Amino acid sequence: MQQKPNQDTLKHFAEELSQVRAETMSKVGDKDARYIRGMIALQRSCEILGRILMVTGFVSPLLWVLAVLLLALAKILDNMEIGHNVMHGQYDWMNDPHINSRSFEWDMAGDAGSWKRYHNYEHHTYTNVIGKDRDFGYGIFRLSDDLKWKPKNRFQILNYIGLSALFEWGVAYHELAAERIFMGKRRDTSALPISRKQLRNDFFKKAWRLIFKDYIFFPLLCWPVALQVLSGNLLANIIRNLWTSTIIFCGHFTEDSHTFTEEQIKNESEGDWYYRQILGSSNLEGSKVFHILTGHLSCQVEHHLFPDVPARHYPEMATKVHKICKKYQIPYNTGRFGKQYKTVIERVLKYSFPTKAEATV
Amino acid sequence: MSFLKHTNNYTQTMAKTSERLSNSLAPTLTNMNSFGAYLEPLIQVFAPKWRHNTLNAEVLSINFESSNVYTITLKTCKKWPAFIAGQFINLTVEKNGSFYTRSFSISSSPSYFKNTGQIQLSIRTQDKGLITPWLANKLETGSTVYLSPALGDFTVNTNLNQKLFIAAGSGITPIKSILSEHKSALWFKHASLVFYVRSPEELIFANELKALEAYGLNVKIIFTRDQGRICAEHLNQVVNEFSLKDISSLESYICGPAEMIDASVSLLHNLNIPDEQIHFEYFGPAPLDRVNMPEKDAYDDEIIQVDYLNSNKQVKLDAENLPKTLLDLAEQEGLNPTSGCRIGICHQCTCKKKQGRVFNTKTKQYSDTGEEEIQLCLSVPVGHVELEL
Repeated sequence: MQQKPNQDTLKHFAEELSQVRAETMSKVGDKDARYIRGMIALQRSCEILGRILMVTGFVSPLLWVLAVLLLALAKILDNMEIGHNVMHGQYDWMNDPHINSRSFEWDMAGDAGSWKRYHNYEHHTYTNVIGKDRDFGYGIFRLSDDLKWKPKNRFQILNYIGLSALFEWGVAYHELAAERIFMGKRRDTSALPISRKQLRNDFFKKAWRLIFKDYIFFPLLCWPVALQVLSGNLLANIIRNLWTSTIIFCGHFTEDSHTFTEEQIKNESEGDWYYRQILGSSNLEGSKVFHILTGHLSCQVEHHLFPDVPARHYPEMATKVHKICKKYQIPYNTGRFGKQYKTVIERVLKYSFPTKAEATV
Repeated sequence: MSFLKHTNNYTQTMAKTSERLSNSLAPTLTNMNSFGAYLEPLIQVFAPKWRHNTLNAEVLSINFESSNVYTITLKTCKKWPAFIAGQFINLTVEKNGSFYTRSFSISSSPSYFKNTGQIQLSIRTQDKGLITPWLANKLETGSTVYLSPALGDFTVNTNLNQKLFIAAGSGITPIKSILSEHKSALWFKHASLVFYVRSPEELIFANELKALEAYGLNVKIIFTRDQGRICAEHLNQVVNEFSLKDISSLESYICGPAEMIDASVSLLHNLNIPDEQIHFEYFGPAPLDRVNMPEKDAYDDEIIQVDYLNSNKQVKLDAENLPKTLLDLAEQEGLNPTSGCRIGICHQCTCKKKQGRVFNTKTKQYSDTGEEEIQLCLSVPVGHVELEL
């Protein structure tokens, strides 16, 4: 591993990155507004068409498959390129009552308010800091030596497959797990800005909304083909879960993404912060369509550096950031999707077993 | 007849039930508040300017009245309700992808609207403003803007009392609407207008005022560059020149900048005119640091803290350096809460306060410490405030 640059170098480094941000923000405007509205229009078309075609599945199974894919695509666009980015406040400058981080709610089991609290704050501030960022391993996986090996870690690849299929429920349950709402011993104090009761109510309200819509309302509405609609909706949700989980795991759990200790982030300067965000994240390379399907989380590094810049600018920013990193000899983790994902699986498997030092004790 | 009434009731109930059903179904099925909001971006593919639940208007023309005042003529959509002379609207425009909302008085009359379906807004360019210079230069004829229904209670009392109108600068706009609307009314012949303008070059509506004079209105134009701002002497001149009698029964209507209104009100008080007969409208937001400031001893602490719960940010401020509204403070922190008119009308910046006391600059009331919805643009924190923002 390379030596961390000194503070003076990091200061210049931070200035150059801030410059990239300023250049991009000066270009944000009309085009971005049209882009996100167009994206939402595309999402709506896919959803409506998907739900209608789902009914015609009895004509030909191919139509049903197409419907499932369209609905899954609608959900992926809603969660990733639209929801995730809108809820980061990337479009708040539009002052649009329907496209802003305050009011947006997405099509999945997790409550937007809860996600905004732990994701935007905890994960984006304490990225990959062990003990602070519960997104690093979600309290389920051992992905570095920072955690002691336990026998249950042996089967974590199975947990990984399970979590991926049910990913939206992981998102929904994340904050409740931390607060030990349903099980475990509760802490006396809580940093939660709302009451635990409210948290539980929000969870049930949102979860019920999804269950009612996808598994009760639409199947019943199309009664003679209820089963076909129910199974189609379920499959669309699972496809979306697998895709989002896969992309998100590639963001921070690739082979070379670093972890940090609470000690390391004390009195962090702006340069330190940028440096940690870059070392803790990894990018995926691909086509424009691929970037959109990932909600531009394929540019995880840029997203962590500039979480509130409209994401469609990330690929262009990535070229500049990569260049700056080269200049300051700071490692920049990027690669093709297949290659990066392989290292994620390898990492999950690697830490399933005790590290050599531990094994010999 | 009774049958008709019955069916009428029935359809109404049906309409209400279906509305209630759609209001509760929409969030469940679409995660949006209404089906209209859900479909909006899709409909915009075919009708780019369509927006759910908004009233719109087409820009017909923009004409300059003087070097810094221009009049926009708008053709409103059919759904836009009528207005009363003297009212204002919130105009929303889309500029480089963002929506901006500003309040403007309607300068044309309701009868003109009735005949043509058009309204006019007369607007003064604010030199450093974001919107007023842009409207003058960049708003294209034929483009779409969005309107609120007419708002405000600066309207004329149609009793027969003598009326005195005092306007300064672009404060003439609601008064012009009132005067044009009522030019044939009985009281009109005993009405007087005092119009303060900086210089002859900046005089607007000269022809319109001349026409109104022909209907019997007394008009006195005072150029402040030569004669100064409103004072007792000016008022005496008006009383003598127009031989106004029974001064204490005078109904007066004032519109202009805050200082001018404050000065006029105290001069009218000196003439023993009671408050009920003095009507005024601040042009632009009522000034925070003047009439609407929380009392010095109202603050809970010397240091006022505001917590933005959803963004995990907090600010601490010296109570001395306040007042700033919570909206200003949030923007200063780099948060971008949805906002609009910034004067408490559009309710777009409404936000949940979890706890803490705030002062409402419009109602001049202090809030309770508990949880409630507040308008950020009107609220000045006077204690440790927690916001869901």
